[in-house]
Amino acid sequence: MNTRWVLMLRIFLGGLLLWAGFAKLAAPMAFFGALLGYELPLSDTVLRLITIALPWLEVLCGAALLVDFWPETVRPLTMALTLSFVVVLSQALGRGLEIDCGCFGGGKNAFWNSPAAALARAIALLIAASVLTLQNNSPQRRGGRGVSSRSSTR
Amino acid sequence: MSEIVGKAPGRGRFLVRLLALLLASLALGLVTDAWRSERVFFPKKNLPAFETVPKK
Repeated sequence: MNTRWVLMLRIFLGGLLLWAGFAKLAAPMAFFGALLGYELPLSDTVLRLITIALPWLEVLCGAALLVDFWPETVRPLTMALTLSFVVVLSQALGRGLEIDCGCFGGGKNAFWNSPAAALARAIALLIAASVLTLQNNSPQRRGGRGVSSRSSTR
Repeated sequence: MSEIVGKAPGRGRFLVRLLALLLASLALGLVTDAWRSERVFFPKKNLPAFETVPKK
């Protein structure tokens, strides 16, 4: 894949994750309220842990994507993160929950924060993260690691 | 003739880095939550106002 496209995807995904992470950090109670709205079968303690840890995970992943730090770990982690967003938003949409998605801290009841719009956004992010992960695992990216042109000495 | 002689990128290294990122997120979250006034994980208890015990 063209390295320019990969760079653009990294900047897009990394920038969006940084924005979402800092927005959640700025309004933790609003994010916690949005999380409660999903009616997930999780205990209050687990939801509170997610509320405090997820924004930082997004910030760390976003920053790591921007500077291409630990790509073989960060890219699959970002893919898993966006996949979890897709799953959670899908169940909310399937159950007809009319909630604020909480993607950017919650509290803003606009179309952009509706579950349908958030799901479309999450799917786009999942595609971008998947492309980055697959590109990272390609032989060209790994510089032919694992394959040697040396003949066997055995 | 080429032959595969190397190992795939270490799964152990991947898991260690994954765990490091998750723990770093949790640690940063706990620290920032304890620091701020609007707490999520460490809610401030509504402690009763300090009262002196009346002397008998």
